[in-house]
Amino acid sequence: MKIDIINVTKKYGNKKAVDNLSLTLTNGVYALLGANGSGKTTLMRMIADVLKPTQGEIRLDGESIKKLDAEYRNLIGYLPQNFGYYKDFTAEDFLYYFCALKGINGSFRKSRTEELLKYVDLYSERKKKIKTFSGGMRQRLGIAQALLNNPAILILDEPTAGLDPKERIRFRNLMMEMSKDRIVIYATHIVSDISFIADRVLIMKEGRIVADGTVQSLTESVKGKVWRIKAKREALTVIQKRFVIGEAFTESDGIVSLRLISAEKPCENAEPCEPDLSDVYLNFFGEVSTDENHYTV
Amino acid sequence: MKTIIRYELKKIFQNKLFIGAFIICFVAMIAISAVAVYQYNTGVRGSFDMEYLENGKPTEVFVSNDTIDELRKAVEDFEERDDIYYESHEERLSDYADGGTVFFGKYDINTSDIFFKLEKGEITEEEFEALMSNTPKTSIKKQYFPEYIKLCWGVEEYENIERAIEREEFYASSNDETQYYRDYNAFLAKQHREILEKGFVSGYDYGWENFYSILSQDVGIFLAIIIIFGLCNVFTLEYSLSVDAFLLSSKKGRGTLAGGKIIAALIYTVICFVVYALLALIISFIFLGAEGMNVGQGESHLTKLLTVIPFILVGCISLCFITLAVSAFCKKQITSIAVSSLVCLLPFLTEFIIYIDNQYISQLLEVMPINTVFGTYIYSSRYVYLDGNFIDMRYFFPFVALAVMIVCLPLIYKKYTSHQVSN
Repeated sequence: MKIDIINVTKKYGNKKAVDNLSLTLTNGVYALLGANGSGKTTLMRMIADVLKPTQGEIRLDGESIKKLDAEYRNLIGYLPQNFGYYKDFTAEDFLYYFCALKGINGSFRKSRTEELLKYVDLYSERKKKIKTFSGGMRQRLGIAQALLNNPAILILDEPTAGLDPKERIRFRNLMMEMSKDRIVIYATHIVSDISFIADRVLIMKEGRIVADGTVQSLTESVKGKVWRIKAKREALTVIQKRFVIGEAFTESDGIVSLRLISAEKPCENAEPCEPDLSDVYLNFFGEVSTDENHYTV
Repeated sequence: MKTIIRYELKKIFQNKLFIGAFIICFVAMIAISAVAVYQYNTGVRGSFDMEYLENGKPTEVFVSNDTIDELRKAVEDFEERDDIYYESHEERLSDYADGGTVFFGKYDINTSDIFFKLEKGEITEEEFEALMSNTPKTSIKKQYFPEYIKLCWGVEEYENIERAIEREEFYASSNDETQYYRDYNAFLAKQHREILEKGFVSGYDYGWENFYSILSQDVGIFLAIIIIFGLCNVFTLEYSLSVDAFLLSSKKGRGTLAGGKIIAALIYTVICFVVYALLALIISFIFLGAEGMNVGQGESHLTKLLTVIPFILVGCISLCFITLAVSAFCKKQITSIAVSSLVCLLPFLTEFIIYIDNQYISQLLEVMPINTVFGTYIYSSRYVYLDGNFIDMRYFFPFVALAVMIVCLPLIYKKYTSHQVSN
């Protein structure tokens, strides 16, 4: 199975949310990384066939998804970034309703619903109304909805938003299991979610793919640019103005340890670090502070 | 599809807006209907105070051109009897201490005839004043009322129609009137002459006719409101709750779902209508019992009123389609309610807001679905004037409903299935 995204542009007024983007997706997990407003959600919506491109076309195995219509939608499972619920439906009702909409009928409807409710740890809550659920529970129900039809194309927009660390790990493991023989498109800005499961990472900025590769090839691209330094707390603001800082933690009184991105060695005591995917992300999206206060390094 | 329809109905009935509207409207409907039937039952709606009649009911009499002379003679003979009248004013007052209807018999002065004579120029202003200042010499004794009412009921109705014909023929030939008004009066006069020719049964029990009258007129607004409030959210809810992305990316989340929603909305409309009709029926039964159930002859409007029922349903279905179309376009609940209410109720409200001089616009508004739900124009025999002819307004209602459906159905499908998720 192959999805071809051909010269796709989406405009809102004069603003291009997605700008002449071309991409081919085959079986595997695709991590779509980007800051807010980079065009991830718009691209996901177009792939999910809920938003029309202004220009360009999306094809599945050479056939336009517009033409395939319900046949294409039968293959997809979509979890949008922001979604709502019918508050007075129970979790079970909600999934039964979507089973009907996805063409799942008969005894399979019941067994599939039961299986997924257990999978997302909501089985014991299945008779409760959704309005009584926490944000994490609702997110898990949304995930179950996306998986109902065992989709060949799974589109997940910020699926771990609202999940606690335990649930995130559980979801990551689920994705690793599910990724075989299907296309999984996974948009997030939480880099750690996809470091271990993504076959390919796509970094979006201003509606375009600015980087495309495996986790390994992308981290290679920032090798020699990641440093760790120790500095006085008072100097933090000035450092932020000059460098993109990844992580920072206090070591002892008044001294902070900083991980930063710099093409050149930032200072005498800087030590080179092994880069990871978050460094790649920061390299593209990290911005230096614009605070006008000056401190001595 | 069955599961989709079931869940769509669940969504409609779980909507708080529906629940609120349902409770308020049906309570108001029960109250208004009960008051209307109670008023009727106590005689307010009757032509005569029912308390004077034996068993509270008039006697049925067949009246026509062929029988009127005989009936008139019986009334005149009765009115000529001197023993039926009060001899003095004091005697009369002692009988009328608690008020009530007065019958003057042969001493009666018909003021509307006097006005009409003045209008035609048959009498001068002075003669008019003189006639109007006359007062009946005396009136019929209360104890003779039941007998008198039985005799004069049919003659009275016949003479009312005769007077109407006289007026209609006058206006039909008057050069001071518009062509439409002349034609309209000629048409009405023709209809009335036919009634007198064929004859009619006078004095039937209005009991169950009243039920249909309530059903079609007084409380139609509540039925309309329940339909509008219940359905204005059918599509809007999906947009406003941001469930649209889930739905539109599902295999059957477009055309099939739109179809399911429309069927669910139609089922809801029929349920509301049936509940509404049953409530009116139960209220009538509580107040009237089985009295008058078998009536429907002659001049009775029952046959005509029976046709109101399917027309009200047709009107409800039209409102359902209009509301669904608005809902498919509106992303916010408040907008959907406001626009649906405005579009559906405007033809009815216009009547109270502005006077429309143009008869074509006025007639167009009259055949709009909301007026079909009210049924007022069906009950009161409204006609549409087209090319010099008067056509019963009822014939237009199904065509209007069909037109509404033809316009709304593709709009609903097109708007919903091509909806772009952007929130």
